Amino acid sequence: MNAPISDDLVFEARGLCKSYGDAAARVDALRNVDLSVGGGEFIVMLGPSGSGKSTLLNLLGGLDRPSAGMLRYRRTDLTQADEAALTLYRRHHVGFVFQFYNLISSLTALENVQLATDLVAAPLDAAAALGLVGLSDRRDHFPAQLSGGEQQRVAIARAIAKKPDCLLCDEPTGALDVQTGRQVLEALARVNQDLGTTTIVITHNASIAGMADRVIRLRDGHIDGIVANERKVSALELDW
Amino acid sequence: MKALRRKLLRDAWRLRGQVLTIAAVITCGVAAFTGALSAHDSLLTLRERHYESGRFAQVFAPVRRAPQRLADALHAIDGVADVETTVAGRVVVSIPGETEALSGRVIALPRHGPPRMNRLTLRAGAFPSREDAYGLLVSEAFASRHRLVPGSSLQLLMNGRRSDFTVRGVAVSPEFIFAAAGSAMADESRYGIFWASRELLDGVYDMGGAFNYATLRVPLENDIPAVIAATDRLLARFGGLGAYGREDQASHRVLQQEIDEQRIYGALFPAILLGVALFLLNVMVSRHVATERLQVATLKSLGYGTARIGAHYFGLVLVIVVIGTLAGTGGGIYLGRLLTALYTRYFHFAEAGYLLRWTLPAMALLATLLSALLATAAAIRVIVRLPAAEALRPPVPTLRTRSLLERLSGRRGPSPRVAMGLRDFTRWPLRAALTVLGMASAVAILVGGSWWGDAFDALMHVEFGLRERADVILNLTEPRGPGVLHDAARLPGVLQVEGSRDLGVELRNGSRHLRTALVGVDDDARLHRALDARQQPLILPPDSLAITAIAARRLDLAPGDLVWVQALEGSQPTRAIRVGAIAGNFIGRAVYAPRRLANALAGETRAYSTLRLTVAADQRKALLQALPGLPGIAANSDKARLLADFRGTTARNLLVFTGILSAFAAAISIGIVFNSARVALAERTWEFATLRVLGLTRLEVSALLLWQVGLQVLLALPLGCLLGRGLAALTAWLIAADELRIPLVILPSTYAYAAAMTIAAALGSALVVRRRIDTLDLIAVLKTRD
Repeated sequence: MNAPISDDLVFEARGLCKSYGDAAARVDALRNVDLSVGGGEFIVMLGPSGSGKSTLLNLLGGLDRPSAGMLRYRRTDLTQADEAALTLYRRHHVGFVFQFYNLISSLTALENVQLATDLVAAPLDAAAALGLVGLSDRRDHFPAQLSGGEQQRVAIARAIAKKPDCLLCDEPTGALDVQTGRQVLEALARVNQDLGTTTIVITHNASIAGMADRVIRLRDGHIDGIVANERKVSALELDW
Repeated sequence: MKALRRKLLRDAWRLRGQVLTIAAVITCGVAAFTGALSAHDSLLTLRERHYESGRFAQVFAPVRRAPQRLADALHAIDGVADVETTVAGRVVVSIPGETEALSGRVIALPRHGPPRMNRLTLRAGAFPSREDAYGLLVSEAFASRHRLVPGSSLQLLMNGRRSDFTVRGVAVSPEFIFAAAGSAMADESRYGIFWASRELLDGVYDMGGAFNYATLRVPLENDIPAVIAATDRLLARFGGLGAYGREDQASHRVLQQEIDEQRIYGALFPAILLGVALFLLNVMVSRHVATERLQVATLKSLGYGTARIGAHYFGLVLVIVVIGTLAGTGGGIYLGRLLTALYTRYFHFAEAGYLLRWTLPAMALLATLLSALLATAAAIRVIVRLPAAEALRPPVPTLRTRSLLERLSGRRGPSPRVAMGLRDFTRWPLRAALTVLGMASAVAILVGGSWWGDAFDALMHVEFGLRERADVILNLTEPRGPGVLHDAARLPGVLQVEGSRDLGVELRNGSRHLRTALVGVDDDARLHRALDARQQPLILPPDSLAITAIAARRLDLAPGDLVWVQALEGSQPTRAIRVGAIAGNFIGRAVYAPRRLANALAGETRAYSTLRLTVAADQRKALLQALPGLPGIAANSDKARLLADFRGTTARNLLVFTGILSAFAAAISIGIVFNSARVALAERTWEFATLRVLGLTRLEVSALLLWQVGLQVLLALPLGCLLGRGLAALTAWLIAADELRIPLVILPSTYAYAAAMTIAAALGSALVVRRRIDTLDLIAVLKTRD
């Protein structure tokens, strides 16, 4: 089921394949994936370890190139993009949030966000981005002075400060407790709602599925099913 | 193979870039150590063997004319084991087809059999037979320069008498291992030593039943001063010119200085290189063990003991030290052979050879190993002593703060990328400082190794542009009155003539004494002037001397003090003369006096022993060709030729020397930059990958890495130039000798060369490391925790 919320597609994948290794020891991480993602969608990708969800996210984020098939970001063919083009793509259109936050330890919260705002022509104000994730009062703290949840929210602020078209989150709550995880998801939902940023969250935590517009399940490298939620629940209502 | 040993080898292979660059610095250090000290040992051994086999005398006694019976009296001096007397004299040499002005010394061979002391080793041909009055032996350096072989002809002008000779053989002597007329500057290819028939020389120098040169064997060193004093007393009546020991013997003195220099280089440069290597080892091992926390925990949980794990990590250090020492020993042997070969071009020993004591590489290995153990022990100990459970947890993140610079500059900080660089640079201040210092040492070695060219140019300018300004210098066989100036003025092409009275003197102050040449110059002399320490012409107060700073130190004299002076010619009384000034000579230890005073010391009225001429350029050749035919001239030197030869020799030696030191400096620069960039990259791989994911280009991320290297190089350059100047000053001070003082002159081009070499080496190695940024595995890095 490919039902974009708006007409303009952010991502469109057809027959997408990704394999690793040579012929003798080939591992097919992704097999014939067809997918369309519309602007402003909040998508949760579920699947067990090795199902291919991270591989798909890496392809969508321009961190890797598909082995076969077609992948398009708006009108740009990512399949044909070279290294420099992918860098520019990540720079201007994609925001990443990782399981381990990946903050630069020698920079304060505000400076970590500025690192992203320095890259684009019309970013969000770095302080405003921190405000959006509720961390205005922690802006001058270094990562080592912040809790895990706070660090992850700085990472979200950094990802959204460039005003990217899409936000790609790889197990953003994987290293957090439930309470902190909820705060992080709440921040993601707010960004999706307020800024209209297309958001894709991959997780093995099925409880998160309730807050998505659509839930995509992966298994053995292909899409096992796509479900559109009739009613989205707020992050604060989630439990796991 | 045990699994842990296999891990060690694989770790070493994985870190091969760092292993090899650090080993290269150790290689240079060990090579410098082994090379310089094995050259030192080789020269010392070759010299001692030659002295031993050639029965080199301990005391040398020139005299005007002493009766042969005095030999028994000399033999009777306490401590003297043997005495040999002979006849020797200065000669002017003419070789068919050779226009050059050549001089030398002729020494009589004993009437019966070879000499008992200062024995000759034949290189070619044979001793002339007793009947062969006009056959002679010639010194090797002179023979090879002028292609003289047994059968060649030459002419010697001896005591105003010209005789044709046939070369019968080519020889070396322990007395003339370096055969030159007294100073390190002299060119032995223009100064020949000839050994000829005693009968002939007796006739030429009017020495029938007499001698003018004696050599004494004094087995016990302690006896030597007393023997010299007794010899002087015995010879005084006969015109003793002052007996002296080996330390004042020209060949020995030059050789000793070169041997001492090798010891200085053998200590100085290896110390710097080893220091850099230890620092690099410390940084590399600290980083390596920090990334091995999990492995340490795993090994501990398997039951490996702390000592066993510690030994495993020290194994990596051992691999580096062993590779470095082995390669360094090989390099050292090469270098030692090269230096020894370079020296044996100037020093003519009886045997050729190169000696490497096995203790040298053993000492190098032991010293490197022990200091490497000390340099890395602390880092290894911290990791291996971690309890297993703690090692399994990631290290507590260090609380980062704003750098001092930012705090001082106020709240509004620099851009995040600049802040990152600044904070990372100041995160390990000691390491940053040592990195800068290490790089600076590369610059310093380059400056300290290549400034010699500048110094020699400056020295040449002072000695031959300001002090000795004549084109041609003539040494007269006997001092002559003022008429000789007029005679010389009539020679072809002569523009100006000046004379000086040069004589050998002994200076005494209490128990200290020094034998040297005294140059008596006229007040209005322009062609040879005494200079002060600032190289300004020195006006000598009447009845006073100017002595060099080194002579002043040796005699413990200061301007205003009185010094006892005795002429070594004739039998004039000793006179107390005031030291009027310190002369700023770089070459030689001659003292200066007004010419009248020199004449007074020699007990004569106005007379000259040396003439200095300026010559019209187009007539120079004609003059030089005419000189050998003139009577009364013992030797002449042509400044242009001397300078050209000296520059040629110096340039060749400097090239070798600078080449070697440039290699050392390159090893340091590459070692430091490669390792510091590699460690910075290893420590920040995770950050760099994150930045790449955020959308920074390879170039932008590379800039972050190179920025740090660039800052280090930028700080290192001025510091290195300063240290290089210090190193140059230190070596100049250490090798300063009576004969040669090196002015501390370093031109901007030398600093620029050092800087350019360091930048090139740094840039090259930084770019090699930078390439790894292109191959960062973004996905893998993001799946792991820093």
